[in-house]
This record gives sequence, C-alpha cells and structure tokens, in this order.
Amino acid sequence: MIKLDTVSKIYGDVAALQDVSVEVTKGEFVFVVGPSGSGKSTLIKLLIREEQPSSGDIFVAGKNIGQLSSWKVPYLRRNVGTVFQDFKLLRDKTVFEQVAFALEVIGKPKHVINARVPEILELVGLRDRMTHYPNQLSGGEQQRVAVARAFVNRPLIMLADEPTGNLDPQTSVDIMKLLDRINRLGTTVVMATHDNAIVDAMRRRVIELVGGKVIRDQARGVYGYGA
Amino acid sequence: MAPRIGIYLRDTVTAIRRNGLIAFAAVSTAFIALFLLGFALLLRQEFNKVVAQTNANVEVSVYLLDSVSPAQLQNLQGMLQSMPEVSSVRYESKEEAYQTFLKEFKDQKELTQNVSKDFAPASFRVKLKDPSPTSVNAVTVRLTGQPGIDKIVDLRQFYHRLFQVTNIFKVTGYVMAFVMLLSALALIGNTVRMAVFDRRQEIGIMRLVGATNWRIRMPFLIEGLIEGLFGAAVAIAGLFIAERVFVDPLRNQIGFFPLITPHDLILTIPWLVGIAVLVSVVASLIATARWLEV
Repeated sequence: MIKLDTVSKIYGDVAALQDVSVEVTKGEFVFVVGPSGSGKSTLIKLLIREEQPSSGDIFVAGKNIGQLSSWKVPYLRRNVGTVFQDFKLLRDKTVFEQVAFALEVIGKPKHVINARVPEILELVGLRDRMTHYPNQLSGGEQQRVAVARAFVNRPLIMLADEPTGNLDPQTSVDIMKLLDRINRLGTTVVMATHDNAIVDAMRRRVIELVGGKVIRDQARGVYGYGA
Repeated sequence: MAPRIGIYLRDTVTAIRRNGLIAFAAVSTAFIALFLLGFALLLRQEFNKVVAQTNANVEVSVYLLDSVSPAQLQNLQGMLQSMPEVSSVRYESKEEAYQTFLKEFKDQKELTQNVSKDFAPASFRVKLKDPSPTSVNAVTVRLTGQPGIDKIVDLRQFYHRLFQVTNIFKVTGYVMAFVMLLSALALIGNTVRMAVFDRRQEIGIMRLVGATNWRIRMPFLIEGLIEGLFGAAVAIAGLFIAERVFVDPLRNQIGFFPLITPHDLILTIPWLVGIAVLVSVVASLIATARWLEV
C-alpha cells in the first residue's frame, strides 16, 4: 500500500529524512514515533505530496507519486485521508457542512452527500451534533469531525499527524478507538505520535525515527525500548 | 452541474460582499476603461462611415458665378471632360441645387423657409477616376483663373482636417482605455487576491481532500468575471445613454453627415464583453496562481 525506497528529504542543509526505506501493506496499522523534529511530519507530507522527496521513490497505492503529474495529485489525495493535531475545521460551517464540503469539492452529487454524511457521522458518534459549529464542540468531538471528513470518501489510507496531541488522555483513547475501527474496515492507518501511553496500549507496528533515520521497525511494538 | 453553479455563485456573492469597497473600485475602473474603449471604437466606426461616404461621392465642386455666360459654361465643361483624371462631370443648375438643399434639410423648416430659390449657386460636380490628392490638385490647378468660376471646393480637404481632429480623440481614447484596462486588471486581481486570502484555510482543506485546482480556482474566476462583466454592462449602458444624449439630437441637424447609430453600438458590445472577459480571467488567474502551487 505504501512503500518508501531510500527516501531522503533535505531542507537547506538539514536532513529531515535520511535513506528511509519502509513498506506498509494493506490493512496495517502503523505508528511512527520519535521526538519532535525526527521527521514524522515530513513523512506525512511526502505521502500526500505536499512535499517532494530530495531523493528516493515513494509508492502509494501502487503509484510512484514522485512521478505523478501535478494535475493528478488531487486524485492521489482522494485516496489518502489526513487528520492533523489542530483539526483544521472551518469556523463558519456546521459539522454536517464540514464533512459535506469534502465531498462537494470533489464533485459528488447532492444525493450522495446527503446519504453519506449522516452515515459517516453515525460512525464517529456525532449523529446528534450535525448542526453544531466547531466552537460548540469539545476538542475530542472536533477531532472526530476531522476524522469523519478525512474518511467520508472511503480512502485506502488514513494518515494522522499527532491526532491526539491536543486532547486529554481519555479523549485520546476515544479517538484511538475510532481509528482502530476505521482500520478494521480495511483502511491502512499511519499515525505519527509521541504519545507513549497510546502506543504501548495498542500494541501495533511501531516505526521509530530519530534524526530522520529509521532506528527501529517492530511488529508489535511499544513506544520505548525494553518495555 | 446546476447545484455546483449555485455553490460557486453563493461563494462569489459572499466574497464580493466582504470586500465591497475594493470590488466597487474594480468595477468602476473596469467601467471607465471599457467606456473609453467603446468611445474609441465608435469614433473609429464614425471615421469609417465618413470615409465610405466621401469615397463614394468624391467630387470636386466647381461653383459658378451667377454671372457666368453660356460660352464660359461650355468652355469649362469641355475643359473638364478632356482632363484625364476626370471620370464624369455633372452640371447642377441653380434650380437643382435649391431642390437638393430642400431635400437635405427637409426637417428644418426654419432653414428652408428663409431661403430663396436664388440662394444656391450653379456648379459642376466633377467625379474623379482616382480620388487622390494629386489628381484633385491637378484638376484644381488647371481650372484656377478660368472665367466664370466662383470657387473650387474639394470635399476631401474638409474631411481630411476633420479626420486629423477625430484621430487625436481616437488615439487618446485607445491609450487611456489601455491604461485603465491595466488598472482594472490590477484592481480585479487585487479583489480576487483578497478573496483568496480570506479563504486560505478553506483552500487548504480543499487541497487536502483532493479538490482539483480547477475546482478551487473556479469561484475566484467567477468573482473576477462578475466584476469585469458588471463593469462592461455599465459601460455599454453608458455608451447607449451618451449616444442618445449627444449624437441623437445631431442626427436631425446635420442630416447629410453620416453618424453612428445604435446599431454600431451593438456591434461594439462583443468587443467590450470579450475584452472584459479576457482582462478579468487573466487577473484572476494571476491572482490565484501563487496560492495554488501543489
């Protein structure tokens, strides 16, 4: 599903990623851990072609995205849902509209939108919050809206960049349950985090980055060594 | 497709309302630019009309003294007919001249009623094979000093002077229109840029969920287009009003002189609309390009 082949990303004279080779198969749930500045976010940006690698090849859903012509990039992104630490919700749209917007702008017809949005809001547990605005929601609820928006188009891959970074531990657990559920629906999930409690609890594959290099890739890992 | 157009329009109306003052400046500049352009285009059409009419009747009028004798008349006619430049000569008697006058000014009773039959001179109307200034000159030179002639009038000379004046207006109109079009481009671009800036978060999300560049750009293109077309509409309305107020009253007073008609105005509409579309699309594309790099 995702394959990085000796990928490096150099900003000026700083190497954000160095010779990273990683493969993620369909349906996997992968944590990317490491301290701030270890290259986690850069990895996410490369996967949605927000950035281009300085060297190496990246394959997403079978396509070499380094060679993708720029007009095809939107179609790549339709296959990759993305969630961020800061939710990135629009202030003047209701929960329903936030999710509908994602379908609207890729040209889905109204009847599809009206059918799918309530369905996905049901999945994330916000069916009764459809008419609320972001400032009327808790942080956890806002992140669930963001997840719903990223998932409403049924992407093959779900990327999450520190999705629990702004949330308290209990709410974080709820978000993780949601991502786990999405993973069980067959979606490949890649989550960058430095929340060790979550990583330790989930017991999934862990890729650890330090200084832009992969120093560990463990099948049922925990956050730190020796746990 | 229909609901999407609705979405674009909704976004556009919001954006224009939010930046009302700049949008107003953009529309007014577009209006002034297109009005001037329309003015210059209409002047050109007026010019063409006059040229067409003069070339059709290029003639040198040889006005005769009332005292001209039949012998002098015959002599002059013979001279004219033997000149190589001349294609035809027509004698217009005093009576005929008077009738022509009555016909040309038939709407102005106060003029025709106060003129006696005796007022118009007889003349030779000379048509030339080649209506160039050289052949006009050759004819004039040879006739000068012949008995019986009052004066020789070359209509072209009159029009030539007129054209020099209208040409200055026309060129000035074009230059000003061009400068104003550039300003309109900058101002429309600016409103679009503001709208893009206002909605940068939305654009970020659109890109994230895989909206195409075209889809992201469309509302901004439409905003620019609406501003440009609104300016064009006001400019066209302004030109029609100006025609009504300034040109229409002249139509009865100088019936012999070809004037632009509302039909000529209609012919300029595609030009003005086309240029408005071009300017606003270019402005919007430039303004959105920087924000949409993938």
